[in-house]
Amino acid sequence: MPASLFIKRVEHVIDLSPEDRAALGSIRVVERSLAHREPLWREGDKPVQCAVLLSGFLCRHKVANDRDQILVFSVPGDFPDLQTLHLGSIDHNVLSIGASRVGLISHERIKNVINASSRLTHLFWRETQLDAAMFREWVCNVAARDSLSRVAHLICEMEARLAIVGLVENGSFNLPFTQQDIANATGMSNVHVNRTVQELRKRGLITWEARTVKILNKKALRELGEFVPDYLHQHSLA
Amino acid sequence: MAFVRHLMSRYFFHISGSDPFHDVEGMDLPDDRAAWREAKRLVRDIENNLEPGGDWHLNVVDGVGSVFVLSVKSRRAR
Repeated sequence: MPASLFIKRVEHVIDLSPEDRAALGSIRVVERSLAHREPLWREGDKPVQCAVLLSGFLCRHKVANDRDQILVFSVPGDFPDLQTLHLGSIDHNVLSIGASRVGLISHERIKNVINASSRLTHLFWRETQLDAAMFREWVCNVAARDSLSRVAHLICEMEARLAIVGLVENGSFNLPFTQQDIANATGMSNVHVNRTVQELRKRGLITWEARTVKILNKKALRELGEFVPDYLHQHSLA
Repeated sequence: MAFVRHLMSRYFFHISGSDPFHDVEGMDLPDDRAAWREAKRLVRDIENNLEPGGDWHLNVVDGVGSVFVLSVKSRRAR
């Protein structure tokens, strides 16, 4: 599996044995390109594959109250659909934001790998737990936080997650999200997001030109967004 | 997609009062009802932009003129 980004992310916290690495590296993957807004899965699908995001971004969303609610964004190295291994069907849509590339792995292959190694079983299990931790924080973000904090938090989270897989340079990163995407993620109106991003710029916290975001004052932006990276659990397990 | 866009109108959501905001970009929406839904969602703007005694007014405008006005007035009672 061209799992380098996935391995890069987990090796921060888990010691992978040479055998584990070899097992992961040997998983056969079928690469697929997705166009902007092309669905990987639709709500109700019963996939027999899992996907690992290789490049670009995905969003997972559902429609509620006639609104597109983005539940979480996926960054390279993420598996957006591990639940399908055990839950059978997928209860939300998975879409590409911008062009992206995923690696598709059959459920059978993943199961063979994890059946052979309890350590890799735990690795994938931990992945689903990380997913849950992000959703817990997401609930706080769309419910409790006020609008300025919500958007600040989201930007901080994207920066932190992209930095883990080496996609942030000098505080700058590619983020092909429209205002509407941010609005759908934070439960705000499009116009409100526009106003909020302008405010963040005015306060000297970020720049956002086309698809490039740069955090100018990480400490202040994190404070404003109440962003504490603990829930991403990047500290060592040892 | 081009077909859908043809049926959309552009609405602008201008905020005035204590903390004004001029909506330069606007939003493409299918009809007035959709604009009203967005207007109500936009009331959340008061989370960050309204202090006691302040006021907040939303004027939703389309190509023809004002479509909706939504006002939030506040007053410190003591």
